[in-house]
Amino acid sequence: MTHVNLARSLRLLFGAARIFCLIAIPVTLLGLLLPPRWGIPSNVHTSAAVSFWPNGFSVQQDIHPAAAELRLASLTGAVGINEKLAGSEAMAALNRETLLPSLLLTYLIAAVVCDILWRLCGNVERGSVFTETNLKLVRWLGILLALGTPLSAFVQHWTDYRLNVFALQHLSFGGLTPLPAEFHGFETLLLTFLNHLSALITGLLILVLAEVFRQGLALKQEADLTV
Amino acid sequence: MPIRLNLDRMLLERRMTLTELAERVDLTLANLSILKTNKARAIRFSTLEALCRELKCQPADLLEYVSEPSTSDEGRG
Repeated sequence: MTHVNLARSLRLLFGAARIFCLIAIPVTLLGLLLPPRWGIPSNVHTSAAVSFWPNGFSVQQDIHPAAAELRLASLTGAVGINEKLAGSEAMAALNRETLLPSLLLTYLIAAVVCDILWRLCGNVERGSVFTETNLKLVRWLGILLALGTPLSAFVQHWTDYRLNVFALQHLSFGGLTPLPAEFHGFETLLLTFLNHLSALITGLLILVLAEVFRQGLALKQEADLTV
Repeated sequence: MPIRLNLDRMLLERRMTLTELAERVDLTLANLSILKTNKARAIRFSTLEALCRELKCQPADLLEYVSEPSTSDEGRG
């Protein structure tokens, strides 16, 4: 049976992912800094979610005769935005404000996580498992996972808000009254963290494992140079 | 380290080389060198027992406590 060196295989995988992210970061930065003609491709499109007051719409229910009527809170639709709709200059500006920062943050976090995992796998492959370096890497991994995913989601909320603002500024909706675009900074941040509790718990779990790791390191240091 | 292992003295008295002793006590030469040069932080009883058995001596013949010089005069007897 062929023995699979898991540490080496994972190291190759994370190494490739790391290189991809490291290439993607300057490409994304160029998209932010270069003039529209040299920026991101013009066929990139995105969509904005727009919510409306439910005027003229109602909801009936046949679940229970005595139950109260359902009230429709809002209607939401998605509007596709591309260069044909917005024009290349406006589209490029919109992408620079929304799509590119979101991508940049995602690539940055992914690059750092892949780098940490690549180094960890390399150290394990070399036989250096319980070391101070590895302990620091595992701690950083836990912190990044706990905070990085909600942070990315928060930036995504900001992106959605800016796209919503763009749509409301430049589009009119016959017969429908759009709800104003709102971004409640602190409340949105809190909501984002609560909606990404799994990422927070995963990160905290890794921090707990880092503590186990630290105990292992202490035991190893005690056993070192014991003949 | 104040605790010293006088392995080189015992090897001289028993006319044995480090390599021979390593083979007899089933330790690697590297680990025995660590003991000989007093770089070890701890020694297992099983290792001490094997050394005493092959060198035909008591633990007290191998182990010695040497107090480290203190910085102040109060430490000296």
